[in-house]
Amino acid sequence: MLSYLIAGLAVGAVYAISAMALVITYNASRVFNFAQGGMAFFIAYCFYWLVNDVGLNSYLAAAIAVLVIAPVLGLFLWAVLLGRLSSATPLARLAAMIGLSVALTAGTSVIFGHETIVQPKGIIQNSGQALKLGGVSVSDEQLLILVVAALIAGVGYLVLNKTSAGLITRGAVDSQMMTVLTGTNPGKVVAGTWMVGTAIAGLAGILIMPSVGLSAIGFANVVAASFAGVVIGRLTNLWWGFFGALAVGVAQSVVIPYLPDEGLLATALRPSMPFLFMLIAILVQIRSAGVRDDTQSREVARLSTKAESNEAHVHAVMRDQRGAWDRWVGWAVLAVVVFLVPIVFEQFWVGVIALGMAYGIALLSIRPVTGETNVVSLCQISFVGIGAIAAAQLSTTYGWDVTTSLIIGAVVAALCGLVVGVVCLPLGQLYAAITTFAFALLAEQVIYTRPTFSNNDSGVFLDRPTIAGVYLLDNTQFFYFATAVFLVVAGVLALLRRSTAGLALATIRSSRVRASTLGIPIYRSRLALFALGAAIAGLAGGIIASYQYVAFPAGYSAALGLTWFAIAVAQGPSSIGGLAAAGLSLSVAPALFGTFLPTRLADVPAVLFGLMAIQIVANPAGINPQLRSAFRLLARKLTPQHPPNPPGDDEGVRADVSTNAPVPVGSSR
Amino acid sequence: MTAVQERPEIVTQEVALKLEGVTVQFGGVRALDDVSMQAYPGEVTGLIGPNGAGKSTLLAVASGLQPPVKGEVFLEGARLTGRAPQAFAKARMARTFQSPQLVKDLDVRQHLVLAFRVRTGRSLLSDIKSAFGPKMTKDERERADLLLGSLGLSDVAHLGPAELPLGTRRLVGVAQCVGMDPKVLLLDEPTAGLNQRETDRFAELVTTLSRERGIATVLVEHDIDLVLSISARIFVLDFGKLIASGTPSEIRKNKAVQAAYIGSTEVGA
Repeated sequence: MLSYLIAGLAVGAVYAISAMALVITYNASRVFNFAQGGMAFFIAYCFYWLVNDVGLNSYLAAAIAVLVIAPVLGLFLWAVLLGRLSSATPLARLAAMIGLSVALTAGTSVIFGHETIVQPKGIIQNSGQALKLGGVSVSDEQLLILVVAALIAGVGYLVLNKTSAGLITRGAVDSQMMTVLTGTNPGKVVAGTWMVGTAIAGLAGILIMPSVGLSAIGFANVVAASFAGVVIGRLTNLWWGFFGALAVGVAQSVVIPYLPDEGLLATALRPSMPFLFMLIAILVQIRSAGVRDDTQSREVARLSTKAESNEAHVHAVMRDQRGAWDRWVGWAVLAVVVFLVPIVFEQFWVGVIALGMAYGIALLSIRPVTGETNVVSLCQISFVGIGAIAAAQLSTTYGWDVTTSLIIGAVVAALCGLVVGVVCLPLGQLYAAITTFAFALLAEQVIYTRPTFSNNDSGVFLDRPTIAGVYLLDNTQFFYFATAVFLVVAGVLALLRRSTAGLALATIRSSRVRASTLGIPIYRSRLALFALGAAIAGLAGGIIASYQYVAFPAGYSAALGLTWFAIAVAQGPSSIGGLAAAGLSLSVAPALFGTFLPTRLADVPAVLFGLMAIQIVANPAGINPQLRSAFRLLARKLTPQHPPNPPGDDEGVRADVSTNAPVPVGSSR
Repeated sequence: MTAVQERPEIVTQEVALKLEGVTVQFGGVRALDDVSMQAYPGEVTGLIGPNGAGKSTLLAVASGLQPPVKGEVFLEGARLTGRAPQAFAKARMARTFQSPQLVKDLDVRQHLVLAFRVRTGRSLLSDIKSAFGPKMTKDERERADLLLGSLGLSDVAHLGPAELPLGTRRLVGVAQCVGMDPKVLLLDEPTAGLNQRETDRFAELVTTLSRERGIATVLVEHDIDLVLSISARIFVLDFGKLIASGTPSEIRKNKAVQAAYIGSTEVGA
């Protein structure tokens, strides 16, 4: 048992260091560092490159990576992005950090190559036994990790509690204005915190590298475990976060001797630990704090002026019916494209576009969840995977009709969505993002790896459906099928928005307090929408698997889910056209890069998707709604008849947005 | 000020809103300490007090947003203590906020349409039917326009909240509440951001709305003159305690109120 405890302490110590970095940066900037896994991955890769390609001594390489590269990276990111995030909406903050995570991870692969290095050596290049403790040998690496963790915890405590730098940092957390009044620049404090946080994250990455390998997914798992610690510490308590994460690592290790040799428990319990710890922490917090979701005013959107006026401008332009004929142009263009695709392109590209439409259906699932209720769900891809698996099992293993299997797959995903929603919706937006990401990792490691589903990593066959007597063997037929399903789902979502429920959801989105005092059931509404989103994702999963003839669970990883979310939010989570464009990008961009450019550049599309998500900070409405409003403005200019007193005149809108001065009641505007 | 004159008699009808011995504690701070108050249909009840007196907390209790640690809330005799704010809304309690809390994706008219539909009662079937119908029925549009006209908001009916100044947004908040056809209407500093002429007009509107529709209106305001001029009765809080209650003339003369506000100068003089 002692050996398991020591091993657990070593792993838990890395989780704890990682959690510490998360809490420090969150406390200083109120930005949750979803990109920490990407940062750690990049810095660990720099370390590996310095040792193996440049030929530096591993200690020197670690020092350069942690003390030079990491702080410079932190400072650079603060200057270009992180420093601007504190005034953004919680959704924009999260989306930007997720975009950064995607861009950093993919960018690292573009720079250093994207083959996974399975067993890289760490700081101690030839690890041996350092000492014996109670008859159990402790390796050099384990000892190093434990010493480093203790040092960081000790130094962190002393700096924060006993130095003026710590005092200023804590002051900046509580009130930036008061910090300014004491003659300190809070921006510098936040920048310094990001430099320190990135360095600690990088150190954690280098320390864990020998255990998890140099792979993005390995690092994502470490960060997810540290997320559990952060949730235990309610995002802001450094020591609860530190020891909570340590406890997760220890628990994962000490249960090993009690596990059965085979079965679900044998393989599922350890990877589930972070999720279970989070679940317990959230339940305890709900009970002890008496959190009442319906009245929760925390994390209510507070837009920065420029972003607010950008978004308001888009809304105002689209609200004006003059020039609304432009939508018929859009429909006409769509009809022409649908007609031309099979004629112009070869079967391969028609297939790529058909897959893009299927991805588009999957991304439509983000509209009810994020677009309608502002919930950041990072596990939509898991529901896609669950839908795919369920449809394949029903169809291939149990011999059900394919079309029926696709529908039942959606129902199964919806039920899973209900369960996940019950856990992740009672608390705030950030908690929802963290817990759904943890669920995505859980699904990846616990559900997808079941032998029945993974079928020795080759997946389970799923045939193409037969619709109205036509077996969709041909890519063209499948393209029409996927497009039709996309349009039907999009139509349902559009109807939802124009219904009374749509008005109620808009209120929930803007102000939960207002919604609750109007009698709108918030939790129930959000849960229903979350389940609807899961159902759409599940349906898309079946269709994707059916197109590919295989439900291949490993294709629905949590890391890929981040990319999906990034591109969807960048295009506009409420925009049906935007989500179609995002789905097509997911399929077409990699195909284009894979066909016409070197393999090394295969991750460039992901970098672009990540960078596109970051721009949501300045333009919260998303790329597609902005293009739509520009098109509407053009349509207005082309509209010959002008009403005598144009209500939503562009100039008037700008003037109104910029002023808070009262106008006389009933005065003409 | 074109004030509505103080009403000479206290109406003795059934109480609409009744708060009994309400106590609210935030950590070591007692925000409200054993506060009781009542509001009656058809009249305006003023709730005043210096900054930090607990006025907004009392409104939060009265609207279900803040459960009290002790005390009771009754709406027309029905006990609502500890219930969710939705239950308060169903019992036809409506409130506005200092920050107007409007919906950025909806125009002014749609705010009212939602209020009408919430009042009528929603079901899955009615929501599905509404998806296939017009955005608003002719009747809803007419009702919305009538109400907006009475509040002087006709010209902004098609605009979104981001296109309105703060004072107008507050009025839209009031219009949405009135659209819910409330029995009790809680107004949290509704005239902040309005000029004197607008405030006078607002005072007239609130009084008329309360009287004509039989609404028990609770008005939290810093504008003491306004409260004194339109309220039938007034409750005064200071440091979480009820220090006085009575008609405006009684409050004007109350020594404790004068001390809490402006030393020995007479309130509203």
